[in-house]
Order: sequence, then structure tokens, then C-alpha cells
Amino acid sequence: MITINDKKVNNPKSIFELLKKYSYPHQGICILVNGKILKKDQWKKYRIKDGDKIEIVGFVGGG
Amino acid sequence: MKKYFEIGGKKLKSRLFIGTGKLPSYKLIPEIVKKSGTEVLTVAVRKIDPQAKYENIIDYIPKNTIVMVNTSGARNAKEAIKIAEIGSEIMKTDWIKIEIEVDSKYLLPDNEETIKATAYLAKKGYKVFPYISPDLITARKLVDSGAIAVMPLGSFIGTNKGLAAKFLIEPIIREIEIPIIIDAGIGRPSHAAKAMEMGADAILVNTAIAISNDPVKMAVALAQAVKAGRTAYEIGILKESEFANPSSPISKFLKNI
Repeated sequence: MITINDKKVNNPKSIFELLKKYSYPHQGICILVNGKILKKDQWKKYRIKDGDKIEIVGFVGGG
Repeated sequence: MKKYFEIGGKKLKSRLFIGTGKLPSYKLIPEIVKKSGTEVLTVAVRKIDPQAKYENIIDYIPKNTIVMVNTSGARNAKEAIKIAEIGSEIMKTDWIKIEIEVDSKYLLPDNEETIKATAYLAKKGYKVFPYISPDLITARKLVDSGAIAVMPLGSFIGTNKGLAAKFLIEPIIREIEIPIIIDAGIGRPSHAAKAMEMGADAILVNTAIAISNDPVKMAVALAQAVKAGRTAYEIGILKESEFANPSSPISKFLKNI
């Protein structure tokens, strides 16, 4: 199990599988793994591990 | 009137920056930008959930508009720095508004942590716009830390109380050479005009536009007030006087009737 934005889910194998499965866009987001930014050029390389805490953030309206 | 407002390496025509929080719909953004002439919009960073009708605000921000990432939600310098780094990963922007709050009742920024975050990010090459409680000493430290501008609050966020902190903002405008942008509290065009007449270089407005009955028209009204106030400031505001001064020429002709 891993968490994506605090929700527990079964491990997807890769970041791209995760994005597809949960309908996240590829543009306009930033992915953090265990609190650290995973830059876009590392998405392909990264292998999701059991217990990973993944956060997917984007821009929203704000002052 | 000066043709441009130079800030952060950009030449702007508009001195009204607009925050995008609390808008009824992102769909209003292109019209707000077009009609008000604003060139800088602020956005925040949050976790996103595609299952909950997620709309990407970037899709609504017109090209050539400067996106300033607000670090709201950060409780200390470390978190603000992380949000700034996330912001530039999401989109190529290096304009950062540092907003660090630990007080939920008054939403007062933590000036000390703000100075730390500013110093770190400015060294990394970010264009840093710190939001502060109006304090001249903090403003001086921010200049030394490499801030692009200083953004003192006019009054508490979202209160529409205008320039309640005027007497603390005035010394900042008088003494600090980098641009001063009054942020927070501006609820009406008269507040905006007053801020510009005081000599502020720009203002940032969110709530007054976002929750108005007509955000597009309110953005226009504020933009007009900003222009009027700035024009008057550049011409020179006349001093108040205790006694009346007649507007019509004094003539003695009635004496002969």
C-alpha cells in the first residue's frame, strides 16, 4: 500500500500508471514522494515502493 | 504619468495585482485580466483531486500574465521555500509571494520567518515579494535580504477595512527604496486610490474582487481607482489647510452697488 494525497491505495508500478489510473493531468502538477519533489524528468525512472507517501499538488486560486 | 512600472525585471502598465482565491469560477479570470489590464495574478499551491471536479487554474490564465506563487499555508520559512520550489516545478515562474502565517484569527504574517525565506529564495534567484505586518525595521531587513518589493498589509486579510495600518505603512513608503505593494484589506476603490495617493507603487487585491457581486466590474473599478490615485501622486497631492481659501477670485465690485 501507498498513499496518494492521504488516501491509501494499492501500489501502482510507475508514476505514469498512477497518473493514468487516478486521472491526474501530466501538466501543471508537481509530485512529491515522501516530502521531496520528484522532478518531471525523474518520473519515468522512479519505481514506487511500498509505503511511499505520494503527494500530487497543483495551482489553485489564492491571494 | 510614467509609462511603465518597472519591477522584477518587467515593465508593467498596471499597478493592480490580483489574487485569484475565492473566485466563483476560474472562467472569470480571462475577462478580469482583459478588462482590468492587470498583468500579475497570484495563485496558491494545494493537493489536487481529479475526482472532485478538478479544474486547472493555469488553463484560464492568459499568456503573458505573470503568475506569482503565494506560499500561503506555509507556517515557517522551510515550508514557504518548499512551496516556492514546487511552484517553479509546476510552471516556469520565479515570482514568489512569501506568506507565512501561524495565527488563524488575524492571519498575521510571521515577519521573522518571512525574512529568512526571502533571504534564502532571493539568493537562489527567485523574485521575492514578502507579505508582512507593516514594520519599517522588517522592511529594511527584507531590502538587505534581496526582496524585489515589500508588501505590507493595509488591514487584516479579507476584512475590507482599507488602510487601517496607514501610520505604519507611511514610514515604509517614505524610507524604503524598493517598490511598496499594499496587500490585504483593500475593499473599495477609495481604499485603492488612497493607497496610490500615499505613494504606494502598486496594490494587490483579492477578496474585494472575488466575492463582489460582479468580480469583472469590481476589478475594473479598482483599476480605475489605482490609475487615478497614481496620477494624482505623480502630479503632487495638495496639502490640507485649516482655513478656507476662496476658489473664486476676490473682487471688490459689490462694494459700489
